[in-house]
Order: sequence, then structure tokens, then C-alpha cells
Amino acid sequence: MSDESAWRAFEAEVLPHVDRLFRLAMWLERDRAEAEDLVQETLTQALQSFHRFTPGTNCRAWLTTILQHLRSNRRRARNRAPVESAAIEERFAQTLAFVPPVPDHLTDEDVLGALRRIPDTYQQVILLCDVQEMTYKEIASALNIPIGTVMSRLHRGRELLRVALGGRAASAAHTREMP
Amino acid sequence: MQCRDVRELLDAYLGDQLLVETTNDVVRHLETCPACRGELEGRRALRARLQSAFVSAVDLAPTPEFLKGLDTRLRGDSASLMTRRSWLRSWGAAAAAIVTAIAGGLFARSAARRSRLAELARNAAGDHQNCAIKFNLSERPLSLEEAARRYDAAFASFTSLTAPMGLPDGPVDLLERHSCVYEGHRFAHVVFRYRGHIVSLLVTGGTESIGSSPEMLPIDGALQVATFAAGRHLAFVVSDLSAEDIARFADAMVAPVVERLNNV
Repeated sequence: MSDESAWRAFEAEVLPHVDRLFRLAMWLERDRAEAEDLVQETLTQALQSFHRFTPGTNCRAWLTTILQHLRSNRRRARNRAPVESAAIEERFAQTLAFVPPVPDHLTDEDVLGALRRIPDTYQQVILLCDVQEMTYKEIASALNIPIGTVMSRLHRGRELLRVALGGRAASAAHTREMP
Repeated sequence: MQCRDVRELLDAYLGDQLLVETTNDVVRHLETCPACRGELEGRRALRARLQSAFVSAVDLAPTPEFLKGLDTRLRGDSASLMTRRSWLRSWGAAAAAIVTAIAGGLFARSAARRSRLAELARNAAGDHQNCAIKFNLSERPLSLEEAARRYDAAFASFTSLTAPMGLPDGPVDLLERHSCVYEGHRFAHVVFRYRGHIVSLLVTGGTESIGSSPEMLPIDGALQVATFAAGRHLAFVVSDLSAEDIARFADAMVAPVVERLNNV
């Protein structure tokens, strides 16, 4: 493949996913400079490994896996602890006595605000599944966790999201009713 | 199925992650249960709202300056990467030439054999890449029967080849069988899928003195090639799987290929 055609293949396959990849990095890092660094490093690595990418497979999942692995290496290099411990996950999961129905009228702000209030490990799997549209198997590979853990985190995460949304909706309704 | 069971499965159902039988059970329950249908719609709406909120949130979007700078940097990286690869290829070719020259007379026969095998391995890898992966061959593939009539009678024996059994993390799916040409070499080409990767078995005429135990051949790039002899033919197994997986796959192909070609 010539230089120009290799670049064109990369451009056509990878660049359409940059916007969503950046949004994921921004959400995870909560810092624009960190997100820009992470996305740039991800795409540089993707360019170097592009000959390993199988056309016709899920390119967004491939890029997300590279991003997650790089992020995990960077956190390890900076001696940052894992985002949430298993004990915290358990504690959150056990607080779910009642899962309310999904409220009818939700704004973008309600949904993103509620997502931000649940623990990071749950946010991550929900974003990879519902926004990045990755399969359970792809998520397991990106996060380096068993597929059963992906499923249980998704289940618990969605329940927590609904609890958070229920609280948000109730609080909004209460505010509206106040004189 | 009870409502409680169905609600446990609704998110996996929405994500199309259930087995066919379980999906059918969920669908049957939903047809008769308005409460679960309402729950499903609520969850579907939440997913859609989450996705739309995420992709339209202004504070998560990349800036135009970042995107422009990224494009420029990646184009620069691409150009220098290609230059480096081309330099490595030239250096590799020069080094190989020097080694061959030093080995000279003593190893002439061995070097010629390796060189011929290396060329065939490169062609097999090129065929895998351009036929099985990119569908980009300049000449249309022929059926094995037609290729057997016109070029090599042995190719007909591959019409009955099946996928190897018993490999770890199997099964292996057989996707395609035909004969194709790459860089002037005609191959019988059988394409499989194993562990999500495309694997090619490519067989061509050749009498290089190698054994019928698979041998890994070094080639440029990410592909792995294993080869073995079968009668007056050489078989190549090519994929981007690991060397260990390719060696295992080639081991599983030896018996059926040798059995077909030893008497041809």
C-alpha cells in the first residue's frame, strides 16, 4: 500500500470516530488538556498499529480499547489507585432497595448529571455499552475484566442511574411545586 | 418467564446480547405483558436520551483547533512512519543480501531454498491480505474444480476439505474455497474464521525440501506464516493470529492436506 493510500484508509476508517472518542476521554478525565493528550496518544498508537486492524470489524471499539489501555497504563505510572474498589461497588449495589421507573420527562442535563453521580466504574461500562455501542465482549476486552463483571456492573449501574434520576426528578418536581 | 426474569434481561435484550432462544422467550412475554412493555420503552428512551445527551454536550466536544492540530500531527506521523518502514525494508533487504553473500558457497543451496520459501511466504501473505481480507485481487478467483481442470489437478481434492476440529477456543468456520493468483503464483485458497480472525490455507506447487511438520517463516508486518510440504506441493497457513495459534492451526491442517496431496 502506498503512503498516500495507507493514510487515506486510516483517515476513512478512524477519523469519523474522533469526536465520540474525545467525548469519552473528556468525560473520564474531566480535564481538557488530559483528554487531548490521551486522544492524541490513542490515535498515534492506532496509526502505528493500523495494519493490525481488520477491516469490517468495529473500529470504534478498537479505538476505545486502545484508549482504555493507555489510560490504565498512565494511571498506573502515576501511582493512582483504581477508580473504585470492589468493596465500594458492593456497598453501592446493596443500597438499592427500590429501583424507580424511568421518569417520563428528562433533559440532557438530568441524564448526564445523574450519570456523574454514580461511581466511575459503573459510568464507564454504561458509556461503553450505550454510547460507544460496544458488545459485552468488547467491553470486557477494553477494561480487562471478565464478561460476567461487565454484565453485573451494567445491571447495577443502570439501577443506580435510575435511582439517581428518580431523586433528580423528585427534586425538580418539588422545586416546581414550591410557591 | 415471569416479569422479574424478563426485567433482569431487558437491557441485554435491548443491546442484542441474548441468545436466540432467550430473545424469543422475552419477545413472547412482552407480547402479553403491557407492564414489561412499558418498562422496556422506558429503558429504551433512557438509552437514547443518554446517547443524545452525550454526543450533543458542548462541554465534552473537541475544539476545532485541537482537531486541526491533530490532523496535521497525524499526517506528519504517517509520513515519517512510512519513511521509517521503507528504510527498514531497504535495510532488511541489504542485510539479507550481505548475510547471503557471506554465507556464500557453503550455504548456497540452503540460502536458495530459504529465499524461494521466503518469496512464496510473501506471496501467500499477499494473497491472504488482498484476497481474503481486502477482496482486492486483479484477477477474478476460479472455482477449485475449474482451476483443477486448467492448472493443477490436485486442487480438486480441496473441494472436500472441512474446518479443523478440536482447536482450543474453537470452533473454526470454513468461509470460502477457490483458486486465486497473486504475483504470478496460483494457489488453492481455503478461508477460515478462527477466534474472530481470518485464517488462509494456501496451497501451491513446489518441491522445496522441507518436512511435513509446520515451520514458521519470518515475513514483514503483522502476519504470521507457517508452512509445510505435502507431496509435490507446499501449504502455507497465514493469519494475524499469534505465532503459537498459527502453529497450532497448521498442525491441525497437516493430516487432511497431506492425505489429499501425497499421492498426487
